[in-house]
Amino acid sequence: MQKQLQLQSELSFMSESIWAQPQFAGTDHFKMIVESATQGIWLFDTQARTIYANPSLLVSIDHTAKELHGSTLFDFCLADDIPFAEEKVNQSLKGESEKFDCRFLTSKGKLVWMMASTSPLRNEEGKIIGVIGLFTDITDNITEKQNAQRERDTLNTQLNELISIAPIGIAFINKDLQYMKINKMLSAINGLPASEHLNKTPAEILPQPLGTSVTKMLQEVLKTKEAITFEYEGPSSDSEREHRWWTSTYYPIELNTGEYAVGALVQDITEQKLSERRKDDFISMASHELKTPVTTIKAFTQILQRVPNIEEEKSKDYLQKISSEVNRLTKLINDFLDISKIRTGRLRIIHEQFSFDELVEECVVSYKALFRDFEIKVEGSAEKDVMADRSRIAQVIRNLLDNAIKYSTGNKKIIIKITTTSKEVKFEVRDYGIGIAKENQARIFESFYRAFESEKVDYPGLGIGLYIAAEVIKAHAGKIGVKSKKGKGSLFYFTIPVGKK
Amino acid sequence: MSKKVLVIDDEKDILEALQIILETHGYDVTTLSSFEEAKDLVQYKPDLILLDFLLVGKTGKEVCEALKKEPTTAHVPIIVLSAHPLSKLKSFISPHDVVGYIQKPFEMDILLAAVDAAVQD
Repeated sequence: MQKQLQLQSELSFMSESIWAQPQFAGTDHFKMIVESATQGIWLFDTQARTIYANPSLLVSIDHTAKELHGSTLFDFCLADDIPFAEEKVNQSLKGESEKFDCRFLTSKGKLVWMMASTSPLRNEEGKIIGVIGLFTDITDNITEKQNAQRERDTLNTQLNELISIAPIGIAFINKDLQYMKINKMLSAINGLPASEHLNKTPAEILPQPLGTSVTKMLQEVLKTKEAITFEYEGPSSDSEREHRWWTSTYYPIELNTGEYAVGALVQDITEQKLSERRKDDFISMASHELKTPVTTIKAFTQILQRVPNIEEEKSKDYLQKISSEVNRLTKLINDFLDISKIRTGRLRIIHEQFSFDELVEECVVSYKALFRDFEIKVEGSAEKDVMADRSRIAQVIRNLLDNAIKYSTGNKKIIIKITTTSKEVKFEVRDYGIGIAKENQARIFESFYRAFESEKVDYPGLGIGLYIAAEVIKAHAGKIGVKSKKGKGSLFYFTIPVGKK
Repeated sequence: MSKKVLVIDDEKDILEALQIILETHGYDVTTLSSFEEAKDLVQYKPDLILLDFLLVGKTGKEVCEALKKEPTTAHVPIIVLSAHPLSKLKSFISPHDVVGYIQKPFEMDILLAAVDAAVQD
């Protein structure tokens, strides 16, 4: 016993010369292992005072053998870790093998994590004379783990946030078909708070027969482990009157346990559906609009070809009808092309200098000639040139006049007013026709689909003139608007900047 | 005595063309540019109604139903004339109510053949 203790205490002095002493030759092998071990080895006596520490340990905790001499483990480890380390060392002094983590501050202030395993150090008689501690530097592991954990936590938080605010409905459903997690969007679609979904099944939450269909599909996904997508429609959860469309995808998710759950993605595709429908409606109405002049052209052409002995006067009249329907057709086609240009951002404005009053006069003259039964009056004048796209502004003026005439019933009076400031020119058209209900006034310029929708019931036609007019004025940085009362006629106006000459 | 055809269409030019075509072929034609004008259908007693199947305003469906409800016109065959494809009108038209459909723009020969066949039935 005395000899071993002697050895340990000798070792603790750590001088190179010790190892060179011939009396330790028999322990060369042992020495080599201890001295060159990559693990830190630290021996304590029963008072936890250092008996020996190998170079690895000294390097790890960045202290010298001298500093360690006579000190305890607790003189070097972080204060927070002392009670725990103390308890473990005491346990080892009682004969237990212990494992614990312990942190040290190096002389340079760097934090070092050590994984310690301590066991009793016994003499030849088996009496505990101290503790043998093996210390592994796990700083890198810990830092890596901490960073990874931090990254995972951040990612999790971000993912959860993303799932929560995602504009599509997301839910996780377990193998018993219970909602385990559901985001805001899907809660809103289902019309129930998230908390009321938890641990309930779609059959309990969703209206019938949807609940049954979804249940069947979830069972199918769990059985086949293959995703299913389906579309469904029904009243909105906010309002019975509102019809909506959704598309749902259910996909299998394998859990750590080897069991399967289902991920649900639900997307509201109402806007898409309505937009498709509006497009279909528009195309169908557009083709109908095109067929109307073609019908007249074709009918009169056949009459001229096939009906015998038509008087010359009548022939001329029929040809005139054909000609005006060809014009109507041309305007329709140009309107469609304009819409296509507007919708793809290809509406080009070519600025030129021209007299605004002359342009108005030109437009009005042709309307006066075409609509002799109308009283069309022009008040005021701009008396200045503007920089704008002459033909596009003419198109706007014509579109406004077309509408004024189209919706004038009874009182066939139209008043045009031109006013001006130093910065802009204002054009107004007043009619005394059917007028526009307040709720439709904002929408008539919005988009040609809308305009078409709002006029669908009351008037034929596509209602695309105002949409084009609004886009042209917008491209000129001007303003367009309407003042109207149902049954009292309308006042449409636009302004355009005078522009730089 | 020539057969009476009542033509209802909101396009005045088409109405005129139909009148010329049908009169040239010996029909007695009355034209209406809206169903609202058709108050005196009872006295008119047409042998055939040529109806532009409008989907705006007073729709073709409503007109058909009104014609079929009225005892004096209930038996009168109706031919629908429309620029809407038949597929679109199918949900509005009952085959019991109409005897034919002519797509606009129409061929004069097809129109006359359909009208001839309908009045002979």
